[in-house]
Amino acid sequence: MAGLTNRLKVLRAERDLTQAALAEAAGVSRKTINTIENRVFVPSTVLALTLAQVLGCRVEDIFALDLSE
Amino acid sequence: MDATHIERIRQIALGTTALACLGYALMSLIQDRPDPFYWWVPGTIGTLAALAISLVERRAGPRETDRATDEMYLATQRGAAATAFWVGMALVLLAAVASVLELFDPRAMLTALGTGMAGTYLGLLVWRDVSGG
Repeated sequence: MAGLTNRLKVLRAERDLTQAALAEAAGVSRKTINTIENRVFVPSTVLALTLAQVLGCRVEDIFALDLSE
Repeated sequence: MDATHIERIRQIALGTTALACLGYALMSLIQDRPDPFYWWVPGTIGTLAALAISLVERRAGPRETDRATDEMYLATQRGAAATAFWVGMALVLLAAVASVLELFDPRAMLTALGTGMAGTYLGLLVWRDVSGG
C-alpha cells in the first residue's frame, strides 16, 4: 500500500507559522504537528481537514499518496 | 499553563509511577517477599500522579487538556496498551514456569506480576510519548 507524503512543513513556513502556532490553531499538541511533518504520524481525516482549513488550502495541497513506496 | 505543561507533568507523574511499580516488582523478586518496602508506596505515588495531572489539567482548562490528549496521544496510548498486553502475557508465562520450578514465594510472584504489569504499561506509555509516538 502507498504511504502518505506531505508538504505541511513547507506550507507552514510559507505562512510564517511556527509548529506551536499551527498546533494552537488546529487544537492539537506541537508534538503532533512535528510527527506529522516527519511522517511518523498519519493524521485522521478530521485533523487533515482542520489543518487545511487553518492553512487556507485544500487537503490535497498538504497530503498526497507516496506512490514510490 | 498550556498543553506542553500538561504533557510534561503527565510524563513525569506517570514515569515516576512506572518506576515505583517496576522497582517494587523487581525488589519483591530479589527479596522473595510480597512487601519489599512499604506496600503503600506505589499506590500513593500513583494517586499523587493522578492528582497532579488532574490539577494541572484543571488549571490549564478544557481546550489545553484536549490539545494535550489529542488523537496522537490516544494512538500512543493504544500502542502502549497493545504492547503491554503481550508483555503481560509473557510475564504470566514466566511466572507459571517460575511457579513450577518453585523459584519464588508465590505471594512475592503475584506481587511482582501485578505491579510489573502496571509498571510495564505506564513505562511503555511514557517511553512512546517521550519518543514521539
